[in-house]
Amino acid sequence: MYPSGKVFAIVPLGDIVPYLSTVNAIILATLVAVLLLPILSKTDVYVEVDHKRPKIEAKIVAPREDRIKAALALVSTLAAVGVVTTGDVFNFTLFLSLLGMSNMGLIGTTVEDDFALECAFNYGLMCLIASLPLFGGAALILAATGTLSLHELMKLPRGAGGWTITYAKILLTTGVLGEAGVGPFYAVKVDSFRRIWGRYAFVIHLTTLLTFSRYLEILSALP
Amino acid sequence: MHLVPATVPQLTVKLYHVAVAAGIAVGLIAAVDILADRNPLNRLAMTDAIEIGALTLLASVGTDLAECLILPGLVVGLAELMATAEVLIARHSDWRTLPRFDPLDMEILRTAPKAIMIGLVLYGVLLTGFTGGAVAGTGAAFYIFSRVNRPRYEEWRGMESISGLGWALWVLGFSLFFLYPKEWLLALLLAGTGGILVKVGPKLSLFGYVMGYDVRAGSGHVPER
Amino acid sequence: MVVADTLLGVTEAFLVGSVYLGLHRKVIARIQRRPGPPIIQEFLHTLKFLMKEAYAPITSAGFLYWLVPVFNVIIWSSAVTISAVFRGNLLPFFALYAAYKVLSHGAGVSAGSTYTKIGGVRHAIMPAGELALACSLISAYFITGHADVAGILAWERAHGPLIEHAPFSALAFFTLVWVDSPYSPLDPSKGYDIVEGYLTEYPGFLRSLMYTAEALKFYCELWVFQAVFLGISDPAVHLLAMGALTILLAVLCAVTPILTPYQAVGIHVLVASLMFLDALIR
Repeated sequence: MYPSGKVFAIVPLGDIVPYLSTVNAIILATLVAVLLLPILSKTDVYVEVDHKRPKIEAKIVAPREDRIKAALALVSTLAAVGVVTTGDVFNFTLFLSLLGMSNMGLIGTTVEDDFALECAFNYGLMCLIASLPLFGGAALILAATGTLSLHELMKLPRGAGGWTITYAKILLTTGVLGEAGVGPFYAVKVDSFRRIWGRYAFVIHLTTLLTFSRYLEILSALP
Repeated sequence: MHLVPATVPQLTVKLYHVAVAAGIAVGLIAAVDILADRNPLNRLAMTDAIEIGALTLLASVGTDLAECLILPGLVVGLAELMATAEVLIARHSDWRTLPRFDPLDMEILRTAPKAIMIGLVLYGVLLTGFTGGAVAGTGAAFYIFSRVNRPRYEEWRGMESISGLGWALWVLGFSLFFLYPKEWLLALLLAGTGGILVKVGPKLSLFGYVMGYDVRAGSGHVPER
Repeated sequence: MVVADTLLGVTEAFLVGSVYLGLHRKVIARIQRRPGPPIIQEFLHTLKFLMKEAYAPITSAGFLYWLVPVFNVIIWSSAVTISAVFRGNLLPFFALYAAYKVLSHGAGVSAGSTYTKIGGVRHAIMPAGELALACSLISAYFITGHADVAGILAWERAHGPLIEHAPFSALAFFTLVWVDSPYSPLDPSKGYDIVEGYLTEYPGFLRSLMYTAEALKFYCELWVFQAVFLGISDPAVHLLAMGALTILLAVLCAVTPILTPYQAVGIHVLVASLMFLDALIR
């Protein structure tokens, strides 16, 4: 029934029923495990080389910790956890929007210059534009099948929704790509991976990719 | 699949396609405008129009579930818009070049707001409930914002104490219900007034905090913002 | 029993993977009219580095730097275990592949060197890997109705190999394997300009772990390609087909010039978007 393997935990939280299947659990475990790496490691350090005679002095410059970036990274991760565990298509889109927003903040803050803000602004616009196909896709699924719960959608026979579902899938994919998929590209554009806060920008890449792997499961659950 | 119950008129069912087309058309028109005019403010405004297209798609389903989905969709869209706008402000703002406004000094600003406030608050108390709170709160806020000199520290503290008074009135009204059930109208009015005051008072003092009046620092001190 | 199977499978994957990587290198050398290293050279490299002491550069990010190779090995061992040994669900394979991408990027970021950072960033912006993998897995599921390898193999015994039913998806997966094979024209993360990309700053046994992960990855990708798209379930035929695929990949890598990062990413995006349309319309 479930394309994602055996379901071994269901949280009956009202209408929205988060669940953990094999795929979900693996994605969640990977997310948490890989996220621990940047949290527990030091910030990047610079080596400033001073060419003095008669000897060369190398001085290590480490930046101060910044709580705003850590908080944004945390919000991004929490949104990714929501995306991974949710059992509802609309909830998925909402968490994805949150993820896009916090990633936008990360892009704008990891590199402290005007170009980064410009790029973050463009990414924010991209997120807002992508919310049309994202919510629109969810709405089309609701209209075609009468439900948004993944547990119910999985029970429907394949081809139940007809072409509306195909159209909804194309819209949803566009939305996911626009909301989360372009994040790493903007981060590369502002060069935030190579800066001193690179390990927070690393979170953008992590959450984006794992969100996408969760989206595959949702895509295969649709009729 | 037959998802639509028979009680729904056929016209409504047909309108679904029109609504979906309208939502996507809104999105497309706004996207064309974004492409045409590269002014960042215009682009921001137009992406909000696209958001409205998304809400149209959600609303076009027209069930109670769709109604439940519109609110979170709207909230998330607004949050994204505000975050993006914040980025835009951080990018383009230069505090030195922002225009400064001197307060207007007009006769009507000193006399009319009091009357309007009294009228609105009394009407709100009579209305009771959510609407009443909104009306009374609007009256009070209108009075505060239209004053030439903003209230001082003691006045903000006074507004906070309004809520305490309201609480006392509410308890009085509540106990009247049990002790003298025949006086239910008086009890209702007392409790309604008290409830609304409890709601409105702290919000007004919150305005004080938001506008930068440092309560802890003592009277009259307005920090630079 | 499960533990023994897992250990046996992972060991086999490591040995076969490193020997085939050596074969890959040998074929490229022969096409370029060099004698080339012996076929077991990659395996010997891994063993040699395993005995060496490791250290962290002073600019490295500490924990992240040390744990990336370990996580890499863990991730590819689990991928081999889930897909090849127990023939389980393929969706975790995608998640693990994504984690591998992120970890390579982390390897680039954590060392603090410019070369590794550029290598990691270039590795991060290559979307062909994830997108091609995503759409090929999705279309395999849409066609066969199974998300696990055993189910797909059973379906293929009844209906013929999947490459006949979904040639575009097979092409997408083959692009992924081609991108991930060494000296690939589509992989700009290890060019002449940046030494060895994100591997540059890894000494000693850390490098050995990275090599182990590469061997496991090569085996795992080839295995999944054959099982899902060629429908081969016999172990001996598997090894032969893997060898044939390795030689094909080596020829492709040897006769094509290295592209610039922008060209490579352009080709990736083109391939991935075509595949995605194909997968969604199904």
